[in-house]
Amino acid sequence: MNNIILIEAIEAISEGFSLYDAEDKLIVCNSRYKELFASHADALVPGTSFETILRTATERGLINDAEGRRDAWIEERLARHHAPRETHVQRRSDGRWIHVSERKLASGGVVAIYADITEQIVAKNVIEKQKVHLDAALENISHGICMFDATQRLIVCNKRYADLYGLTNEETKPGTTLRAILEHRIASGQAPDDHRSYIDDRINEVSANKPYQTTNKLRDGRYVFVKHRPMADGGWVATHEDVTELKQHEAELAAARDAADEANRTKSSFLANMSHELRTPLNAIIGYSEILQEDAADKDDKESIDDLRKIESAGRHLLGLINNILDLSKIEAGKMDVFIEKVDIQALIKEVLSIVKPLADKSENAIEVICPAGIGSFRSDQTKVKQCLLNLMSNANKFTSKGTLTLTVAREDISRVCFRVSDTGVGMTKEQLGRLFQAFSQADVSTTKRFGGTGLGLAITKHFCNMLGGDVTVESTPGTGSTFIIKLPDQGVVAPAAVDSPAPVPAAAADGRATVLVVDDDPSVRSLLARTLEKEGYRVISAANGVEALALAREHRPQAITLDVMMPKLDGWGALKQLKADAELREIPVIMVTVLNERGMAIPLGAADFVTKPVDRQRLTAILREHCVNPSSASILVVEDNLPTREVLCRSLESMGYAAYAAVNGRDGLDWLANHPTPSLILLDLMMPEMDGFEFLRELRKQPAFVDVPVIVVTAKELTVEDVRMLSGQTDGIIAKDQAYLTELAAAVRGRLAQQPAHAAERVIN
Amino acid sequence: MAKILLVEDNEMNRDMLSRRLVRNGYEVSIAMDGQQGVDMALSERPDLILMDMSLPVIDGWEATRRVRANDATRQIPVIALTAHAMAGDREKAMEAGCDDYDTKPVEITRLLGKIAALLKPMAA
Repeated sequence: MNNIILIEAIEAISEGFSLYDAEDKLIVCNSRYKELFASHADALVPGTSFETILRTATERGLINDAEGRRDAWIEERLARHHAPRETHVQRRSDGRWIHVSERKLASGGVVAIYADITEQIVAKNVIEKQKVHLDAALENISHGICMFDATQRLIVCNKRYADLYGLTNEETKPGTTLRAILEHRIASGQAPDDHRSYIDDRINEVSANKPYQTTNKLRDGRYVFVKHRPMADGGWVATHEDVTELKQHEAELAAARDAADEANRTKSSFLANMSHELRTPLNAIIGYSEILQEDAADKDDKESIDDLRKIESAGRHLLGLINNILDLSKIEAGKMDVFIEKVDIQALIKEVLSIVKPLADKSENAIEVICPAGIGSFRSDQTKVKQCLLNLMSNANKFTSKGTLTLTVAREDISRVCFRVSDTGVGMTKEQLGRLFQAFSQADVSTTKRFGGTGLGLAITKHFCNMLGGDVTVESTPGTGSTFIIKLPDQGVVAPAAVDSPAPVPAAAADGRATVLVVDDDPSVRSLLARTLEKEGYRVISAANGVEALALAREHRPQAITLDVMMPKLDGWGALKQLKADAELREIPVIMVTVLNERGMAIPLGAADFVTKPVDRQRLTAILREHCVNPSSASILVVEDNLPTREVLCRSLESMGYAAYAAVNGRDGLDWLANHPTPSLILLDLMMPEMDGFEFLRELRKQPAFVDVPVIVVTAKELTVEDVRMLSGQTDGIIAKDQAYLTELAAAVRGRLAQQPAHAAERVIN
Repeated sequence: MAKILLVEDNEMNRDMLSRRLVRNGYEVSIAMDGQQGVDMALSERPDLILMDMSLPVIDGWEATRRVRANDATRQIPVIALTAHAMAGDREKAMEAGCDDYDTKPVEITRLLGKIAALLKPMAA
């Protein structure tokens, strides 16, 4: 072989190459070798002995390992050189690491190959350091953590993990299989159960390569929360957290909450019982004195009548006080309900006047009423409004004598009603006005002495007005008189007057409203019933006689039918018989509109119920509801932590004909959604404990099933621009809980639901 | 003379009310709990039932529902007597099938008016 070619070949080797002969003299070496001896490459002359080269290197301080022990090192090196077995690594003084590989040749010479492995060493050190850091981090985590590779072998775990499951160091050696670890756990009782399937189940779970989390109960009663996350390389990492204490706290909290609920129930029943206990004897006092007065009147015993009247009066007075105290207790306990219904304003005024007039006459006060004839009705809590008006009127009467009491009623705008009670009595100073609506403080002590009373009535009036979404205010001039003003919102959108056009052939109700077929030969009755039912939220179709009724029933399959008895062609009974005979129509509840005489016939013939003319709206609605005919299949979830607000909202929704459900905070709302059919709409408060409205929205929209559920936010929070921006993309409206918000809310709810796609109608009504 | 069934568990209320009803020309029979009320509605077939809502055995709402459920007694008008006009009670009474309601303490003139209104068509 050509020497030049060999030399070229040796030069091409990337490691340092040197060849010594049988006398240990250098034959040849390559440039790389010389580079590695940089500073004294001059010593590397062919013919130089290896020992000389070594001496030169050490004298010049090239080899770190030789420092301070030159001769010893040279001896060791020479020994290795002459009888090479393993490779070794040298540390050079310039910090480099050289890997030396030598081989004795058959000819007696030695080939020595030197490679600079500094970078590998450095990399190795970095890895080592990282491992140290990682271990420190893992050991510092309070959870147990373990990492497995794609073959289900343990890569690393921390001590906490081992301790959690009573595993030894040996059992948690890197490389241990998952199966082995699980078996150890079962053996030491640290697994949920010891069925064989546990291991296979776990392995399947892990093989699914999906993230999951779960809480396991171990056999010793501890709870461990496991969070499993696959890694990109096919392995996974899992954290194991001992949540036993947490669970205990949860249990304690649940118990505390149950105890609170129980206490709450006890309070409610106490109030109810107290109410009953206090009123019953008083009713007896009042009732018997009335009876005795009647007996005395028969005997013309005027003296007794006088005495008895005083007893009756004292009894009524006491009853009034007790009612006030109980009302206030109820309000303060948060147990006062609001019941929204249609309130006929003129009828209400009439009732109030009938009670107040006798009192006014006694004080020689005149009463003036200013109420426009067509003022109509509004939706609110009738009992409470009446109580407020009675309170104001009787107060006005109490502080006035030989004067005038004026009651003015007017509509503020389409959605608000204003009641003003004025008197020409003593009036109040600014100071007195300040204390006015607080319970137990009448204007001042002297007032109590002069005028009597406890000061509770006004406090109750104010509470009631607030609960109904309105307020009561007062203006007064000492010596001239006072005016109290109650403003209340109309809590239901009053539908614009329905145009009296003949009923067109209606399309199927895609908005989920229930349909009622009204059958009556009298067109005015038909349109009256139609308006009434539509106001309740039903969709109405009508027929003028029995024949038409059957045809329309077959075509439209209404949810209920009202059937007039006296009709031409086919009278009500005939129509009823035919409806019940038709297999497809038999199930539709039929309500006969009849006169009392015929009550006995209706039920045996198959009617569901009956009403008498003129039809009482309440009765008809009650009957329809009884037969599961609700106006709308729309259901609404109210997420609101404040009890009175929640109840007001639910009641309002129910009075509009929707099914309302309630949740007390965001978490509760999510739980409800997980366990019930999706509602048509969600009303969402923002400020709630545990999980607020913002977070609820985030969680809600994460789930594909709920991405499209309309949400209307109802909040008292002052929203920042940021808030509004965040909410606008995710909600269908934001209603501020100010004074008249219920009207606005009703309109928003109806509006949003009207946009609802047809899926709402799929819900089964029954 | 029209017959009224008064279902009321409180002795004094019973006494006061029945005396005043009799004074005003009605024949009065008494039941002291809800079940008895239902039974007597069936056995006596009164022209009208005054039903106190809070009763022992079964309450006034349930008793009314049962009276309504029985064909034989379905058509008897029922006036619910509720305490302190709690609005929720009123609605509940109507839903149970009552024809009208009145509040306790009873104002006799008002109650007599309601009774007369419900009994009037009978006269026809």
